[in-house]
Formats: sequence, structure tokens, C-alpha cells
Amino acid sequence: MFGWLKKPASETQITHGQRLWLYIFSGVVMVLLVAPTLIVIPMSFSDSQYLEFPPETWSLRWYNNYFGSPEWMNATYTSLSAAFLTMLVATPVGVVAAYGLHTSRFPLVRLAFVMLITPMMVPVVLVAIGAFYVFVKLSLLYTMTGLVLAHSILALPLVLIVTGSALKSYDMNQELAARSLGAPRWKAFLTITLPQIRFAVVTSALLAFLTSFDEVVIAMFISGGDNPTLTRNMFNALRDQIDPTIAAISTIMIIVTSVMMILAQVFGRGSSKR
Amino acid sequence: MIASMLGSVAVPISVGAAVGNPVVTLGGVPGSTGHVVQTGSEVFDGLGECSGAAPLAPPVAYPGNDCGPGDNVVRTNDVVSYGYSLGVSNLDGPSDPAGAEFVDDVHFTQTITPGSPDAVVAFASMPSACRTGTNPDTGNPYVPQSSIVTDGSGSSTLTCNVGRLDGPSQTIFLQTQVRVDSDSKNNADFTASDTICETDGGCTPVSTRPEVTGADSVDATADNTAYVSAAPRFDLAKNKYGPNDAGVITHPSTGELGFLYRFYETIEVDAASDGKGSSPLDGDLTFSDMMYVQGTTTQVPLFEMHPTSTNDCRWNDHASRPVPFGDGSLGPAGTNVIATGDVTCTQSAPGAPIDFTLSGTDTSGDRFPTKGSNNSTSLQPPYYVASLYNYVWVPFEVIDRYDPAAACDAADTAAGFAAPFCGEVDTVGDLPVTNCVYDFDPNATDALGNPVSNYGADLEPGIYGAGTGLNNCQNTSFILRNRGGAVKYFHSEVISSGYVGGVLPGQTAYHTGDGPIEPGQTFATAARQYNNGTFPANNARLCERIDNMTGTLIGMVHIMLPFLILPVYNAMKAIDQDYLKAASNLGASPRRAFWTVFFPLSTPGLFAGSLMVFVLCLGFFVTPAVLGGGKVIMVSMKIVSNIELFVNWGAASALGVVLLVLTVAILWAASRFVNLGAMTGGGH
Repeated sequence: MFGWLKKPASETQITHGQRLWLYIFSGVVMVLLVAPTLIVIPMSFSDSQYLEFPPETWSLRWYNNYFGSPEWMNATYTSLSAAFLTMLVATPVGVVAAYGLHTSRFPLVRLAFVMLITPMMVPVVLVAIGAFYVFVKLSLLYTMTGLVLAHSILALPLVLIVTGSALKSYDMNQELAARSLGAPRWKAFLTITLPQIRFAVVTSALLAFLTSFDEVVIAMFISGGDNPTLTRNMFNALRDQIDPTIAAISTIMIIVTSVMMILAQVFGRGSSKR
Repeated sequence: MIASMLGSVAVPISVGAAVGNPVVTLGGVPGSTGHVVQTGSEVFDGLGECSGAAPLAPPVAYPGNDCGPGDNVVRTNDVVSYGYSLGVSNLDGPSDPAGAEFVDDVHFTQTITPGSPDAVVAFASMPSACRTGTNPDTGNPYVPQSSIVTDGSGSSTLTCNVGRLDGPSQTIFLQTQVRVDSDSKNNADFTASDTICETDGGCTPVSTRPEVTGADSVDATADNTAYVSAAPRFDLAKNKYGPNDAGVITHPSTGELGFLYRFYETIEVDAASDGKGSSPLDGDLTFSDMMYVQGTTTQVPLFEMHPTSTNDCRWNDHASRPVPFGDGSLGPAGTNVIATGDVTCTQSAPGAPIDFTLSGTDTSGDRFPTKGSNNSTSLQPPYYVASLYNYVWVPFEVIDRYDPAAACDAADTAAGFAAPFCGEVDTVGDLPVTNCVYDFDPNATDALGNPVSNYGADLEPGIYGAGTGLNNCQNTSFILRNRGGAVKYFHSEVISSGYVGGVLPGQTAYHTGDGPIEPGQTFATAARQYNNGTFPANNARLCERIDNMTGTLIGMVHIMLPFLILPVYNAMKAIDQDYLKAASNLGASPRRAFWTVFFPLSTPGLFAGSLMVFVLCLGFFVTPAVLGGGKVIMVSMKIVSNIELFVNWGAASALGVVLLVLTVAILWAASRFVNLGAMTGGGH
């Protein structure tokens, strides 16, 4: 029954038995990674007034509370709109930028790339206060426009990286061939290149959506008034009054995020298979 | 918890010689006369339960304390129990052979009369020794018949005919209860006057004495005095909700810029009071809200309900929590003390109080919470019965003009402003505001049917000045800065040092079940103030559990782990497995092959991943803010608090530059060794 332990695990003749501790360790790490999710979901079905694990009694009241609250619904609507609009803004801009960086022979292309992925590296709080300061001057504070602009800045590097890496494995000669046959450059891009990198584009669009949907710090500064985002309200609620509505929302968000990630994976895999 | 608190008082009162024998006396047996206030016997602890701890010295130090020996506070719905003995004795001495003397229709009357402010009191029971109907000894009806009569002025009279008392010596014990209704006003008193009569001797006043009056401590020899603590049956509390719920809004009709801030008002029953002071809501509920300049009675001009917000004056979702009923059972989810109800709010003019009316409320009368929502006695907040929130808009000009030192000139007057709103108009200002709820009144009405407050005119908490309490108020500062736009600053603080909630110094008793909180003590992140002293401290428990560096580190490791695993995995994946085969072919053990061949080849990924994690962690904000419980302060949080709380852009920018330079420097140094462009990640 435990014979498999004696079998070699790899070509280096290490047996599974010798690696047992490694498997256990990996299992522990995986549990650590998944545990918060496994705790939040049951808590959201608790009947208690407080976050309670494991729940003594079960109910859907916190989901009821969430779906029945105009405040939370408004915040959800804001978050979804912002995420959708961010996707619509960041994806084309990022794809075009990636295409430009990929094809350009301009000597400062690397610098431009670094500049464009800066928002991913710089602490997001700095982006947030910068955006706050500028948006106050431009009267964009608490507006959807401002929120989408700021989130697009954050999403752009992801689009750039995902699309850029797809372009790297794409043979540009195909587009050159199209152009040599008389197609204008935009037409060659739209009809030859874009269809071949479409999986990467869809993946990056989903990532852009998620970036905006999950974002808290920037939203804390520049969303509010009539346009508070869901994450911002959640953060405030978590800080000021802890009730299981948060757990219910978290559960919903986990599901939404997971679905999006799975979609991104599916499209990503499609891309790599081609 | 209910126990006899006072030692019975033995003050035999002689009626004096009546005509004929025998002599009837009141209070013939030591230890059986006087009155006893039945109330709690211990000190309330922080949970609002009697803890058994030593009582606080009554009544000054902690007048609201309801359960210690020596407490002379009569709670609403407490019972004041009177015990009397009527004795008959034959003063002719033992030589009287027959021993047959008797008196008929010995009757005792006690009248209790409310003083001012009004105590609403009534006899609650007829002593069992009091007779009605026909006297079997004489065959005639008892005159007078025993009765309890409450007249329209609020006084209540007990007439107790004990019938025939025989000689040579007989004693009858009477015990009756007076209940103090929850409509009583704070510090109310009432007077009792007693007479005892016999058929052939007329009536003799026994005593007239203030029964429930000021702050006299109780001992066994003095007359029993106590004072009424009248809690409102429902209590109103203000609750802070988040610092970011203030914003900048343009007035829809005038286009004027203003500061919008949202506040909550929570109507709740004191969960700790065990039913005392809580009785059902049986009518419309009204209260008002007003904004004052902090520490003054000066009203803030021109503030108004936000003119267009659809969320004005709305019941909040807190009302959807289940209610523990009076018997301790838990109501079905979704039931509420105020299950129904419609709230309306009106403001007659900008700057005037906002008047709230709640109508259509539950009147079933059996609903009030006694314990926490899961029927536990563990740390619980006051029970939210219902809450509402409202948006208030304050013109920037008002904030801008506020300057206590500035003198008013003709231009200020022309603009409709008076001191202290005559400062320079320069888009810079700091207006400290106190938002007070007052005139909260569930049920009480005066003789004309108009609503009056349980607290009485001069004792109601919530209005500045005139020696009133401040604990229905909440401090807020509105700050304008001409750089960086309007920056919000919202804080709640302990207005009167020494207490949050509880009974404030200078304020006499009202119902409370909580201990004092030390100055400067912070519970959780939201400081709350209540006017009946049930400070929750509920978050303290949650914070304690996670309030540490370890928790933050675990959280950060959890989030960052994928950012390390991905680059390391990519690097390992790129290693040619043939190297390992070659190593083992040359005789290396698996372990040696790993450490000397595989691991060195994977170090670039490890190095890059570690750097990435370090850099991303530098900018962490959410995780330490949530898990650190305010004790783990990272640079990002410092930057945020510098801007949001202290409006110090200089300090925030300096910190930001340091953070940025550090990040860039690390990335630049790292980029010389590893290819960072291949990695992805995101900020948290």
C-alpha cells in the first residue's frame, strides 16, 4: 500500500518517501494560502451579530443585509462600473502601447517600458495621494471619471506585460507580409496581429477589470460622495464596525474574482496552446 | 439580582392615646416598619451586570449605579416596598381580667404625592391584611373599605382597613409596594403621608415625610430616602461612522460649495438594564438634532439637510438584527424592537434644528432586549434597535468665517453673519462642531398631551450650557485648506475627560450600567458616546486578539507568498534537468546535487522574488491597517494619516519621497543582477 513511497520521485532516484516531508510542507503552505477563504465563507452564513467562526447557527441574513442595503448596492454598482470602464480604457491603451514598444526601434524604448510599468512597482499609496492632489485641482475628486483614470493607470502595466509577452511569441513577419501586400498598418494590425494575440488581450482585459475591482487604497482617497467603491466601503466598515456583512460581501467577491481568474486562465491556456 | 437592599427601619411611631382602651400604635414591632427599596444588590460591571465588586460610593461618585448596597437610587420600575406594623396593646395592664378590649375598623392610610419634577408613582399592591366587604365580627361593612385610589394629579392613596384588633396585645403587619413608573423624570421625588385611624378615636397623622428626595445616604436610623432615577425607556445614541463619510458637495440650487457630512443616530435600549427603565414604545417618537460650535451654545448658521440626497433621514439596516426579548429568549431573525416605523425629518430653515419623527412603531409591548443578541452575557454593545442617518451640508463660507477672535464689521452683518462667524473669507478655516441630539422623548407627555422629555428641562443631556450633559453630542471638525482642496477631518473624542458614556460629572442619575472609563483609554477605532452609559467596548475584544505585529506578519506573508513562489518557480522550471542527472551520474547524492547544482541555478529567481516581496511590502497599507489594530504603523499608513488626519502635505510628501527613492533604488540595484521585467505583480 505504501509501496509508492519507495519508488523514485524523479530521475535523480529520490524516492517519494524521502520527499514525504516536502509534500507535507507544501500541503501546510497550501492550507495557509486557502485558509482565510475557507474561514470567511462559513462566517458569512452565520446568524451571529459578530464575525464568528465556526458559526453556531446559520442564516442568509447578512446576504439579505447586503442585497437589501442601498448603500452597499450603490457601492457595488460603482465598483462594477469603474472596473468595466477601467477595462475599456486600459485594455486598448495597453495593447497599443505594447504593440508600439514591441515594434519600435526607438532607442529609449526600454525606458518607456519602465515608465509604463512604474505604477506597478511604486507603492500604491503614492499613486493614491498623487491622484488625490491632482484630482482636487481638476475637480475630478469623487467622480467616476477620476476613479477610472486612476485605476487605468494601475491596470496599464498588467495589460502591457501580458500583451507584450504574447507579442514576443508572435511572428511579426506575418504583419510585414500583410503590409507588403498593400494593407495599411492599422488594417494589418487589426486583421492579422490582433486575432492572433486575442487571448492575451482578453486575459489582460480581465486582469484590468480585477485590478480596479479589488483596489482599495486609491479608492479610499478619490472615491466617495456619491461614488464610493465597494472595497473602500468594506475597508471602512472593517475598521469601524465589524459585522458579518463584510464576510458575505467577501464571499461574493471571492466567487467573482475566482470566476474571472478561471476565465483568464482558460483564455491564457488557449493562447499558449496555439 | 433583586434583593432587599436596605435594612428595615425600626422607628416605632406612637399614635398617641386614643379614646378608650386599648391603644393602637403604629410600628409596634421593631424591625417591621419603614420602607424598603428593593433594587439591585451589587455593582454593575462593564457588562452592565452586577459584578459583586465593591460598590462605588453613592450617590455623588456614581449616581447611576443601581446595584450596590448603600445605593439609594430608585429605578424606574423598581419597587419601593413599605412595611408597617399596626399594634394594639392594653395599657390598663395585666389586671384587666377580660382582655376583651378591641377596636374595630382600624385603618391605615398612606398618600404618596409627586413632587417636582414629577415622579409617576402608584401603589402596586394591596396588602393582604386589608379587608373589604363585611366585618364578620360586627356584621357591618368595613368603614372605610380598603382601596387604592390614584387621583388625576398623580397622587395615590392606599386605604387599608385591618378590621378588628383585639387586646391585650396584637400586631398586624402590612406590606405594600409603590412602583415608580418609567415616565418619571430624573431626580424626581414624591412625598408620603400616613395616618392611622380607629373608629372611636378619629385619625391621627402618623408622619409626613419626603420619601424620595435628594442625595441623602441611607442608613438604618435615618428616614429612608432615595431619589428616582428615570431613564428614558429608549435611548438615543450618536455613533460615528467612518472618517470618510464627509465630502465636498455643491449646493444644488445655489451652486455654493459646502461640506457634506453624514451622521448616524442610533435608538437603542440599554441592553444591560435588565428591563428596568425599558418599557414599550407606544407612540410617536420625536427628537431633534442641532449643530453647535464646540464648547458653546452658539448655533452653526446655515447648515442644512442635504437638499437632494436620496438617503436623507432613512432607517438603517441595523434594525435587522434579532431581538432578545425580555424573557431572555432570542427573537426570530429579522424581528426588531422597532420592527416597523417610518421616519421623517424636517428642517424649517437652514441653521434650524432638524426635527425627526418616528411613527408607526411597534406597540406590542413585550419587546425589549436584556442581553446580547445571541443571548450571551459576554461583552456586547448596546443593542441597536434602529438607527437612521442623515446628511448635513455646511457651506464652506461658514467654516471659512469661523474665528472667535474676529470682530464683526458692517460687511459681515450685511452678509447675515454674527460673531464668531466674522473672520476673514479666505478659503481657510477650521470649524469645530458639536452635533447634538436632544428632546429625545419616546412616550412622555405633559398634562396637555404635549411631548416632554424624561429628563426634565434642565437635566436632559445633549444640549450645551445650563449645566447639562454633553454625552448626546459628537465632536466633529470641519477643516478647509486652500491647498489640496477641502480636506476632511472628522473625529470623535471624549468630551468630558474621565467618562465615555456613563454618568458624566455634574449630571445626576439616570439609568446606566457601566463603569467609568479612564481618560485617554481607547476602545477599538470608533469612539462612541452614549447618553445612557452603555459603552460597548465590543471591538476591544476583537482588537486584542489580532492587534499585534505577528498577525500583521502572518497576513503579509499570506498575501506575498505567491509573489515569491512565481519567480522562484519560473527560475526552477528553466533549469535543465540534465544538470542534475549529470551530477548524480558523477556520484553526487540527491541532496548534494540539489545544493551544489540545482539551488545555485535557482538563486536568481529567489533573489528577484525576495526583492519583489520586499519592495511590495514597503508600500503595504491595507493589511497592517486592518490587522495591526492601530499599533503596527507602516510608512504608507503614516502618509495617509498625515494627509487625512493632520492635513500635513509636507510631512506626507517627504515620507512619500523617501519611500519612492527607497523603492526605486532597490529596484535599480536589483535590476543590475536580475531581470525584473519578467516578473509581474501588484500592489497591496
